[in-house]
Amino acid sequence: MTIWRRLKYLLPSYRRAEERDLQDELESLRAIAGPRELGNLTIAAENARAVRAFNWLDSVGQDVRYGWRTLLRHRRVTAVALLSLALGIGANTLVFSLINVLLLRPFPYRDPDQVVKVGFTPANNPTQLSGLTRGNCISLGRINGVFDQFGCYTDPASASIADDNSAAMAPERLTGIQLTAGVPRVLGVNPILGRWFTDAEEEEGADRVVVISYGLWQRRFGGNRDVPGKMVRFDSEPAAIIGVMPVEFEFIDPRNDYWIPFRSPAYGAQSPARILSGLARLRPRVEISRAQSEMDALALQLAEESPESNKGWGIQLRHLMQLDEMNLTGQYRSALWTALGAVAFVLLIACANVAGLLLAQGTSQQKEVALRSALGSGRWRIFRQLLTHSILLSGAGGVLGAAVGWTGVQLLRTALPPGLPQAVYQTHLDPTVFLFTLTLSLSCGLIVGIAPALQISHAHPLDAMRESGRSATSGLARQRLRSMFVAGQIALALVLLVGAGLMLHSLLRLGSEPLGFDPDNLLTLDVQLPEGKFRRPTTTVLASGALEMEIHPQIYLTSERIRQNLAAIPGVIIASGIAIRPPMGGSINMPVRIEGQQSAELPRAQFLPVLPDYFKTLGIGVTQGREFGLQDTLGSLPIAVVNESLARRYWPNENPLGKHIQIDTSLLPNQPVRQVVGVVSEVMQYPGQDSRPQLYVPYGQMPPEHDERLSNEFRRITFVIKTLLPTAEIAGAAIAAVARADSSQAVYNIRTMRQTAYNSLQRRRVYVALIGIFGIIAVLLAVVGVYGVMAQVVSQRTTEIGIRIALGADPAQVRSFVIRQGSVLIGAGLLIGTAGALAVARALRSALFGVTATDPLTFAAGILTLGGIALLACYLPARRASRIDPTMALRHE
Amino acid sequence: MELLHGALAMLVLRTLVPEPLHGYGIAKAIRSNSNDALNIEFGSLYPALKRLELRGWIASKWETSEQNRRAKYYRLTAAGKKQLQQQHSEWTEFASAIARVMGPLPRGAK
Repeated sequence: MTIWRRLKYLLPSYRRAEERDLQDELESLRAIAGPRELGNLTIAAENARAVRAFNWLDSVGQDVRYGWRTLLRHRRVTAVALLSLALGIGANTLVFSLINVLLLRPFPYRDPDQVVKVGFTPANNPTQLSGLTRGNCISLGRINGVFDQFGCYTDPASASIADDNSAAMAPERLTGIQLTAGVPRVLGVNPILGRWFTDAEEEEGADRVVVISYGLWQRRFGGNRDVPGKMVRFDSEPAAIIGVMPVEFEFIDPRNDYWIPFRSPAYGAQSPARILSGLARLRPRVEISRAQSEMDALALQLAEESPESNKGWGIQLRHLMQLDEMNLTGQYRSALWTALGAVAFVLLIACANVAGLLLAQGTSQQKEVALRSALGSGRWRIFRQLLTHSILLSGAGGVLGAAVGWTGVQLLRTALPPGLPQAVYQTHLDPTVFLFTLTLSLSCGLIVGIAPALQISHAHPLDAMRESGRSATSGLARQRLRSMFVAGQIALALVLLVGAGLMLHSLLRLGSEPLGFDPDNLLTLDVQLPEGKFRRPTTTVLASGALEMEIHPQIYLTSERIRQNLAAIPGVIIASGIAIRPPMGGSINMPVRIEGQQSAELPRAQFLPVLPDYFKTLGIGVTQGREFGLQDTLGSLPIAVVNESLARRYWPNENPLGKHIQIDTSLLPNQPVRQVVGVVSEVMQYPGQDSRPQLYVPYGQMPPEHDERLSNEFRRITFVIKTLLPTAEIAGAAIAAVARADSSQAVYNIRTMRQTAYNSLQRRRVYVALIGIFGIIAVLLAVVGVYGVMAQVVSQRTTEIGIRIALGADPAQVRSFVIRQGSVLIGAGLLIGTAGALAVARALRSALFGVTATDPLTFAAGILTLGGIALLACYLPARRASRIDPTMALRHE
Repeated sequence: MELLHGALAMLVLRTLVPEPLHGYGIAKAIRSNSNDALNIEFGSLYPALKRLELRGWIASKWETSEQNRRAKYYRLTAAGKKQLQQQHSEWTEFASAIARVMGPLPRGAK
């Protein structure tokens, strides 16, 4: 085969032997033939050599060697270019790693496109996906024509976990879900340790079992392999841990730490409550449409069998992958795309830098290129050679960039607050990211290389020779191109800087938002009053589809006793508590009926059930009326306290005291009409909360009837104590105080209010820091660009400047001459950048808080900072220009 | 004289039919066989030899000539013979087609 014969030439030893043979042959022929009969043997040999090998491969090797030599020869340029590329590519690798993990990662389940969510739809609204009854789950579980597997699960709830031998380790509050044994089979995920529960373990009376998350296993059990079989107290009852799920298993909520069999006795097969969600794996090669028609038939059949709970309900199948709520990472999408936009800017700036450097380098290569093209080197060949050089450069930049990006990911992981999907903390170098970086750096090489390579290789040799002589203005076209790059860099850097500035400004505004309470000397601790003891299911199904739960009145007494015990600890000034959501822990908005308001839709207010002395403990200003006290119980007059926003909005110019207000939601039936007895100032329940109506009710005055899910949150109380003692000193006493009220109580999350307030902004802080770092990198790179081009201007005009100085120009004049040139570029860049920043800021508007998208302060700060640093970068070459020695300059070539 | 594209290869192959020759011998043979009409420059011939060798149509071997001189002799390979046959028929067809078109010039045509 010809190809093999050609390939042999790639072996240096073979080539050498061949070359010797060729020389021998020509030598022998010279001896045989008469003189001059053979003509020019050198050309003959040269042409013969050209025949042999892969010509192009040969020349690529040459190009690479040539490129390498150029890189080494221009060490300073190479270093700056590599640094630019490393930062640009590194930033992109970092953000892409996050995107890869959060957005591009497929569902962590086997063949996720075969998994469908099964929902029931009411007759009047066939697009609303509602839940399943227990009976539905049993019926669907029997389907085996189109379903391979089927399982049901509940919404996330919370439970406590404690060690079996009481005080070995502090109890912990966890969130998790109840599900049927079918769900992991649908998802195709198996525990890494132990086993999943069986259908039999869903039966009433079976031993309680728990499957735990990888995170909990590591955190609480130190990754001990003996954990399966270990007994714990789960919601105060003995239960066995039977399995540990793999780290990548995340379902519904990344914070879930346990999975337990669904076996609520309240939801029998006949219960009409729709509190379950269904999940099915389609049989291989079964289309969703076929499964859907089977479901339609089943819906009719179910309606006939048990009309009381199924009449009018249809069944809908949806691909899991098309449901946003099943996607754990959808909420990070816009933040990540913004970050990707930012790093794309950084990379563009870096590319412009490198392109500029290559152009400048081209000037010094000019003579060489001109000579070669005069000697007959093809333009294409020269173009290719220059391009090879830039690709080599960007390849090396890519390697460095991968390292930079990788270091960035490691640093970022340690800064990230908890509660994000597990995968983020486990980010590792994977082929997708690697491929991304590789593609990125190669395309950089092309982008960066093409303009200068075209420019240089197409220069006419004669012009080039002429230009490199004693011409005052050299390479004008090239200079213009490079100036454009620099103006573009400044513009991009300004856009990024202003964007980062607006985000930083928002963060500062958020951080300085008044909390509405005094976080100093406040300690919070969470208590979860145990399931079973304080609530029990009724047989009523609420309009929400959930079962009504009845709260045992004992819960009010117990919580009050805990509060009083806490307040009695020596050193504690005062104590109170809040249920459902802790302070700074978000809010649930409830529709409320407000006296004097007749709108079609009920207004909403934050629903905050609190214990006595809440306002006093947190230092919330009571502007009118009174605080809740011990006397406000189920038997007394139903009362409420509203905040000023609510009072102002609904009773402007009226005395809010004595007005009436009522919570009106199916989640809380039997809510009484309450009389407003006090008005308090605005309290921040979460950062960035705009002025919002808030409604406080006494915890002890909540009627016992609750929606199932809400009642679960109702038994979670955050106690707040005001004390001058340090946390460490008070923690033990607080735990003891809670235990004295009810020995089965567990205490979690003892922390200071300051810490909570600080943590509430942590995610945003990390994000703003990230964007800020990108902004700083962008500015640095752009400044390097400005410096580079100005330094080049000065060195190219050395002769001209020398003449000027010789003719009597003083240093100040020379300096201002150079700086003036630079300021034109910078000014143009800033102008374009301002326009770009206005457009980008508009797009960012939804992410901003407390600043407008056109905030003049941020814009001015960005323009001044960047303009100032860029001018400084001009000053250095300008100073050098003013010190040029005319005699040297005139000799300068 | 300008040679038609590919014709040089054909000439070399044809020249090697009777016996193996060295590079210079090939040039000489082509010249004498064409009654000095085709004087191929060695500078063109030599790369052509290398190309043919690379294709596998000819093979070379160091041998000693009658004058007791060492030289590299080229001979036709089986593949080369096949190639020659094909080119030969293509060439004769081509040449006769040209000849038919050209024909003898009628009297008076200038």
